[in-house]
Amino acid sequence: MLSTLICLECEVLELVKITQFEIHSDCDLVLFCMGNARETYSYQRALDMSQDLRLHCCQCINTLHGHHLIHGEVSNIDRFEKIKELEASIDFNRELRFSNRMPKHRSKVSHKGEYISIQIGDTRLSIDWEDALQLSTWFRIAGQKARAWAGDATRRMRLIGLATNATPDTGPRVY
Amino acid sequence: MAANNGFADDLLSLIITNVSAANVGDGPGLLKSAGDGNYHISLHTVALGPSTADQGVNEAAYSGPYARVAVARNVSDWSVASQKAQNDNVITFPTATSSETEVHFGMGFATSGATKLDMDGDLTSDLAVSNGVTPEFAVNALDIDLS
Repeated sequence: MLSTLICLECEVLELVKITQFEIHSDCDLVLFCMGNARETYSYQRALDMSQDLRLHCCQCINTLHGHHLIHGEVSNIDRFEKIKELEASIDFNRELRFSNRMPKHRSKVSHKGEYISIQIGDTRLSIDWEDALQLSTWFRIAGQKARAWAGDATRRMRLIGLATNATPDTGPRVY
Repeated sequence: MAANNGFADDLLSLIITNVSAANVGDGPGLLKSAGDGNYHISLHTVALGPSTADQGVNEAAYSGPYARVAVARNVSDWSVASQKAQNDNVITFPTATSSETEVHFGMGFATSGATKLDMDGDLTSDLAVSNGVTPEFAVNALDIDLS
């Protein structure tokens, strides 16, 4: 499926395929490239992005298919053997290491209808929820890889929420 | 050392849905609470940090009046799978008659006041509350990840 990539500064719109995006780990960092926009994340932030994207995907599926499909559907898609392999490969015995490069991220995720929007600086990607779920997976795998490189075997409890206005007549719904 | 994925699911199930974590120490394992009880969900106008132990800190105070919302710790109200937990039902707060901006949410033990805060997280987008706005978390809009 084609997605739209918009440069907010020069208002140039480009149609792109999800295969044109690149997410990969580099030492303890995760790089995300879409068009000319590049973003570097710490592995924790990459895992946060994965969770954020998944949450917005869930809301898209809610809108499209009703509530009760969601959890099982997303959980099944999100259950990846690759992640299990990566976790098994973590060397638990060595000390933590970091690349000392400063990650910077200006990413913001939102959704409307069935589309997820990712904004990095002046570039906005509008993407179908199924592709966004794929990106979420890539972020998760790259984050796990970067975490494995750092030798970090800890687990962290991450909570995020998406609060909206339940009274649509009284104001804009916030996404 | 690291906790494996199955144990992470067990811990989430125990904490969020009050299901015993079997085979820890003995067969029955870590036992569930006698009663499910509730998590009381709160909204906050300032992000809380890990050192915040009090759910009343920077809590929403809009006229309406605002109140925490109780969500039972059971498998009907939460789903746990793949080291994640999500709410199964809509969580709706009272309709506001005044303005403020919510940026954070908390989960704790009590209905109100300066009480123990168990968990908290950022809202992915700030919610501007004003007269007539009814804050809510839709189904699966609260996401707890233990990975």
